[in-house]
Amino acid sequence: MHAAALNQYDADAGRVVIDEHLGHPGIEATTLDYGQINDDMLAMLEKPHPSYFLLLLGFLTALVLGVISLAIQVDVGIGYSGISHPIMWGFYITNFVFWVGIGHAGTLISAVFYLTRAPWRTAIYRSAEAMTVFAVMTAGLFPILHTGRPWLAYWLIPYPNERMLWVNFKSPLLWDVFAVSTYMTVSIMFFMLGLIPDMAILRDEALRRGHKLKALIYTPMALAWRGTNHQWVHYMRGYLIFAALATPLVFSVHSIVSWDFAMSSVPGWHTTIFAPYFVAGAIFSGLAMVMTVLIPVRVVFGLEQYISTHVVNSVCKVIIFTSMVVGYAYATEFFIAWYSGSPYERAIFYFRPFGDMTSWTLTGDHNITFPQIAFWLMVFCNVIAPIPLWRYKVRHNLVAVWIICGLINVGMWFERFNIVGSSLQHEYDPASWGEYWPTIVEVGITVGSFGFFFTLFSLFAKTLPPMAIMELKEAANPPMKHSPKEH
Amino acid sequence: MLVPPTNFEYAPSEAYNYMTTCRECDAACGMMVTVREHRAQKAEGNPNHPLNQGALCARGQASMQALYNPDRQAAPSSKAGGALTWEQGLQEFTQRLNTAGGQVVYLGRPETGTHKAFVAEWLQAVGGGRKVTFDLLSRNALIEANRIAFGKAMVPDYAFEEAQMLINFSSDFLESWGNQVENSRRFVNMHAYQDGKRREFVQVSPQVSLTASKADRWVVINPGTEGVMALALAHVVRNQKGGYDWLERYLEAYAPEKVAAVVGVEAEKIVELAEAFSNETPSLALGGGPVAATEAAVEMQVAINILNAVAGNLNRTVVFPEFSPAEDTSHQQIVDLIQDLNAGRVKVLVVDDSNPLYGLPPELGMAAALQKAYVVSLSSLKSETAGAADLVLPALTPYESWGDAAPRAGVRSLQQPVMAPVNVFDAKAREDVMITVAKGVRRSAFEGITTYKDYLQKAWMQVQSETGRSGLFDNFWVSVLEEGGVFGSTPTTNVELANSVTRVSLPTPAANEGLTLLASSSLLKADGSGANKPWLQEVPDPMSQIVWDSWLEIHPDTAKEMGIDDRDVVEVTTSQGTLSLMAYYYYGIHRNAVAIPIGQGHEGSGAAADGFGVNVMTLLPAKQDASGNLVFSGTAVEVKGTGSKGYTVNMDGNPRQAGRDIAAATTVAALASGEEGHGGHKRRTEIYPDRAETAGYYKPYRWGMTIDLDRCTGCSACVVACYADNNIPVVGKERAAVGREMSWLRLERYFEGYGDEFETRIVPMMCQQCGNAGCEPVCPVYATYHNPEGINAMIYNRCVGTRYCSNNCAYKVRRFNWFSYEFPAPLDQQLNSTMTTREKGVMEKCNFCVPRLTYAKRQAKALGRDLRDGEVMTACQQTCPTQAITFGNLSDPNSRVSQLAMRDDMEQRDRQYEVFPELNFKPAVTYLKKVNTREVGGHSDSAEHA
Amino acid sequence: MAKFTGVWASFAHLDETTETIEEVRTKGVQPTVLSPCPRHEIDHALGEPQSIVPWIALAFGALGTLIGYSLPAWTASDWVLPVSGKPILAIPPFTVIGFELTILMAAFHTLAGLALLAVIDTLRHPMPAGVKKYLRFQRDRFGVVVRCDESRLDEFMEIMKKNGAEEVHVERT
Repeated sequence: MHAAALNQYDADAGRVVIDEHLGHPGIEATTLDYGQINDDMLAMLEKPHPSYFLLLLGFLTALVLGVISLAIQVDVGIGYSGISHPIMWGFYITNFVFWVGIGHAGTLISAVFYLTRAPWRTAIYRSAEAMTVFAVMTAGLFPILHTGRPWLAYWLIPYPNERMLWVNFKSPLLWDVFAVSTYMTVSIMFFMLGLIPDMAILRDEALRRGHKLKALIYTPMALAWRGTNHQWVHYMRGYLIFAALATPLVFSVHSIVSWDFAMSSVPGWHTTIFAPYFVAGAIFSGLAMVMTVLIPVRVVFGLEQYISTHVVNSVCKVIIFTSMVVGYAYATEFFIAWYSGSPYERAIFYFRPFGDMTSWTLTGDHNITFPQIAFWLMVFCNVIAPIPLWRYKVRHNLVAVWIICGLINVGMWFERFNIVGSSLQHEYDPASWGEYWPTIVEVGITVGSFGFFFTLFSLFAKTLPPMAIMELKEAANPPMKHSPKEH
Repeated sequence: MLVPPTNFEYAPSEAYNYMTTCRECDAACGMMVTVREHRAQKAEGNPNHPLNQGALCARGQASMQALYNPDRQAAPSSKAGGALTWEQGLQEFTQRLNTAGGQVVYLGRPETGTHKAFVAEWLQAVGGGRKVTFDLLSRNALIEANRIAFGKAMVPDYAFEEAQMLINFSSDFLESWGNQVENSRRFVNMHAYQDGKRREFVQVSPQVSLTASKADRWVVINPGTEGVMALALAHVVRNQKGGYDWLERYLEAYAPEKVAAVVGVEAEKIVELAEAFSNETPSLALGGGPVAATEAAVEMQVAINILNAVAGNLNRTVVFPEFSPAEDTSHQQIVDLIQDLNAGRVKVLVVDDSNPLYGLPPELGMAAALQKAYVVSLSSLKSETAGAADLVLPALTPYESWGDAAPRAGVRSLQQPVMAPVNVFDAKAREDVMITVAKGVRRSAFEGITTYKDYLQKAWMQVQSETGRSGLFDNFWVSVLEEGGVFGSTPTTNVELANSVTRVSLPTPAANEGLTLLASSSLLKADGSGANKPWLQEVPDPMSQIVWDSWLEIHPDTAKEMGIDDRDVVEVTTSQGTLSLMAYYYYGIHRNAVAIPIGQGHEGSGAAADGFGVNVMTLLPAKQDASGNLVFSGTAVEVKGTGSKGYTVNMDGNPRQAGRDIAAATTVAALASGEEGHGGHKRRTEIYPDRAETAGYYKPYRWGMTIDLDRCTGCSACVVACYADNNIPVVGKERAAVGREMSWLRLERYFEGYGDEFETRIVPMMCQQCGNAGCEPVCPVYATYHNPEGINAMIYNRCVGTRYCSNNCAYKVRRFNWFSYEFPAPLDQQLNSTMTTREKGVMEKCNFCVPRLTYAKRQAKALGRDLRDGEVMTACQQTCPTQAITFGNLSDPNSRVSQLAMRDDMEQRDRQYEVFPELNFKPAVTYLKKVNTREVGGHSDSAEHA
Repeated sequence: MAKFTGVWASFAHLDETTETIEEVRTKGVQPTVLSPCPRHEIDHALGEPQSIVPWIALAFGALGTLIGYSLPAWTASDWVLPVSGKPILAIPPFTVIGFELTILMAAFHTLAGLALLAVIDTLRHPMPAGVKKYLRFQRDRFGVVVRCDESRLDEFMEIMKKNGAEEVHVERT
């Protein structure tokens, strides 16, 4: 029809012509009417298929495994893990950085793309935001459980105690405390804010369909939302401000996380490139994780109309971009290591890809260890693997995209390990060079963290609307008696 | 402190120091034991003692763990009847003696003090018998050679400090050859770089021991050719110096060109070395140790005597005392004893703590022989021999009992109980037990003597009259307790070389076509008595850096030919049997030799000893040299790789320092030309004000330290002292394997160069107490900060355990409590009560012995003044035999440490340097470079070129 | 529940709704509008001023900055513990805290502020009971609520009907 035609690609104009009144391109939902959107979305919250419970069980098992491992470690001591002198940080900090990174995609999509009016975000931002919240929750656990005395972790919070002992605000770890907790708080508030109108929708629909129990649950959550213009006017303004606040926040958080390393004297850590490098990596891994999760969701719930190929396509483009940024960062690190002339920097950047220098070993032989494997895995997954995405065909092949995104997740995890693990193995003092191998508890806790994340997410997918119903409507054609042109 | 004060009040921090004598080896150093809360907590050297002068070796420090060893003999027991009461035990012993009919043997360590006479009297009292001494690392060959050469059967006094040049033939005089502490001190006084000169120390041996690693040159000779080499040198020296014409013909046979092939050194090198040696008078040549203990050991010693004689060292650097209080330690006695045992000529065999069953080669048949007699063990510690005894009567350790020693003519050292016997063991003083049973055998025995103390005092009345001290004996006795003994000068006599030496013919050693096995000495385990002390197991061997294990030193070239990788498990086979252990790549060994350190591989010496490593003695045949001593080296050996990788735990992350100059060295030439220094290590200009400008900082103290790498011998005494004084837990083999060792102070060992031209550098590394520490800013809770006295304070109770501080410490000296460590009782009684223990999950590290500082400052405050320089010492500094470590107040420009560190005028520095100055952590520890006589190749290997 | 007398109607189409709003406003009455999602058309039709939420964000953001700098500064000088020769009052590290607290305070009070304002406005414009029972405003219907006294009820009912309201209700309480 006329409206649809307007939103197609216009060859003469060389772009997609957007009519504010006709919603946005790429979302077939523009032709759906409001009622149908409600029905489609609510359909997702119906009683789940048994396979869902099977999946959930799997995630829960992983979670339990993690909890048991953690219990053992806290009881016996952190020494139960493979961390030791001189590699004082291992899997846990790796996981921390990894999960914080995953979180960033959500905020990026919900806030940054909101400000930059990237319309294709609408369908995926709710899930992405949920991921942010869950990922940051997961990440937040690691700094606590990796300490020697987790039961005293609250000492990192500046609170007036009986001795007026304060914390050291010069410590990057304390910046972490502030950055991560702020990020978590803001993400949760942002997430909740977006949910309010949808809660009202769920409430009314439940009442309409006579679901007493659901109504009982959703009514308080809807916070008496009516959708009057008085509410909308403040809501929309507040939402905009939130987006505006979350945007600098998201960039600050991973910069600060990167400073945990960059502020130290450790060769391979002590570099100014880390902040942008980490942020790019975060977005990179985050978007990959979004795809890894949403492509199955799309297939399972049949959401072709909402998570359209256009959405996947756009995400892929951002992934390509960030992949290039990350690859560039790798190269720069090596250049700077050489250019700095510092033997320590050069040593570590020789060690990462190639292992020991012959001049280090007693008899001049050469050997390969864990870090080298991690390094090359990282390079392959993050720089090589995404290259096919340059092709339109590949971007539109869900299976290919899904596999590549999976690889990227692996690669990004190893990037973090490569940074955390390898540098500590070969620091300044050769007499205390060491090797690092994780033990069962570290693996257990790592697996547990994935269990934790996916359990939360699958619960979310079935209890809260995984897409912002209200925004879908906003993006759809408003019901018109007369064609808008006549105005 | 001295004798127990009458008003003994036990503030945990109040320390009382008792003078006594260390009995770990026969060197008998004076010891000062710190007692707090009735518990002996720390052993230090007796500053009054002429031999060790306040220092103590690693084993002396660790003797504390003999006192509190969980594996001490807890109660009397008999093989037949199991646990006994003391009454039963003593009764059994008495009646055995009654029926022995004089066929009694007392098998014990060689004694120098009153104990000799006591045992003699006791044997007489119980109806006859004899004493057999056992000392695995006996120097009897040397004594025998001196009898032949000079007619004086004793060990001379080596005046290292007089020597202009030192040649050492394989002996390990900085480890377990003689008095390690005294040797170290006197050697370093000779060898250390001073007023622009350094006197050369040349090692002539098939293996590089820790001692040899201090040498300026290593001349690799074929195993067992020390004697030939000595005579070759003597040949040249005599030709140069003249004199001793009657030796000419004798030495003809040993002209360098003739023996070069045998020795495996080019004639030119021999000549060149000999000339250097003869140009420096007086010089000193000495030799011995297990590596040189071949069948020709005596002849070798004679050869060395000849060398010393022709070089004109007699009575100058080789000085003989008039007499020696030492006992004959020939292993011949043991051989005879075994014969007598087998022939049934011994009814009762009394053994003290010495452990022949472990030490002797099985071929001698000690195990079987012990079955033939009724063996009574009067040992304090579990041991293989005690395990084979029919009756075990627990003895007290030297810390809890009376005794004395005369390590040298004129030096008498008293041993007093420093505390009541450790409450968990039911033991009695060995001598008291003997007196009791003697009285049981014959009522009249030991007239008027109830305990050994009485006997001792009687003997010391003698001493009083000899030394001509007037006055009441009681006053004399108290003064002796205060002093720790009577320390007179040693009367000496001149000797000259007897012509009879020409009759000694040195057998040219038959070179094995295969590999030769050398049983090398072990710094920490010595004859094996060190093995049951956790500290000595946990502290790495300074050369191999291996802990809790034995290893096979093999030259990489040889190993690669045989297809053996570093750390491979190998099977070592001799005529006597096979052992499988770890191959350890080591340049410091002759290509046709392999070495295994003595002292590990126990089976019945306690939890810390049993099952760790192998006992090399089981590979040795029961051969003896002319003096009757056991032959330790020269055995033909076969080494076979098993292909499987081994599990040795070594503490060096990397054998090389990759050109990072952590253990920096310079050369005499460089120092002379003054190209060192000139602000070579100048610090960057500062952006931020120095902490000294913070209110109350560095006034009056800013603690600092200097470590002279040229004086450090790597003896590891400091490391053990640190363990002892700071309640550092021992973590064991498995945990050490993954880097969980807790040592606050470690000796980093780096190799420079390749092949025979390699150099060893050892650098003690502890917390550098940086002015701009990396660890401080990253701690989120201020658990570590820079305290007003410049110490990098660590507040254990505030630590949450993020471990960031350790990551950010360039020196990697922070240790983390991965677990709640335990001190198995009664080792916990040794814990220093002025120092906390740390719980699971907190970081810890060296803090310059803060408790000692606090204590000293309090003492000074009581006197209303500040501390004076040298009034307070850290544990490591206190025990250092060579005074390589200096500690003091950097704020005082006149303190010794300030003088040495020269922080104020960087321009004038020559050897001083800080580690990693470019990081600008501003460490408070300044190192003084090791001084070499030559540049070592591959030293400047740096990370740049791969 | 405040007393309500007036008319409310539900519309199926946006344009009808906006026309109704404009016409009602010509009668000098500001209606309350319910919609399933925010539409600019409605805002234009209502011509009401923008929300003041941004100002709240600004104010508390500034407060956050202040706290973010003063807390570290005060604690550092309250007990002077030198670390690594760094100045006791070090501005760059404190900036991180300052930034984070700015965001935190601003965000938190944005949420609180918009909630508060929304509640106030809602209370100032009471809803007829029928509106709550009519459950399609969260689905696909637009609603226009006009509060007026008895005399003008018919007038407004007319306007609603004319503009094609689905249902028109009169309520008196």
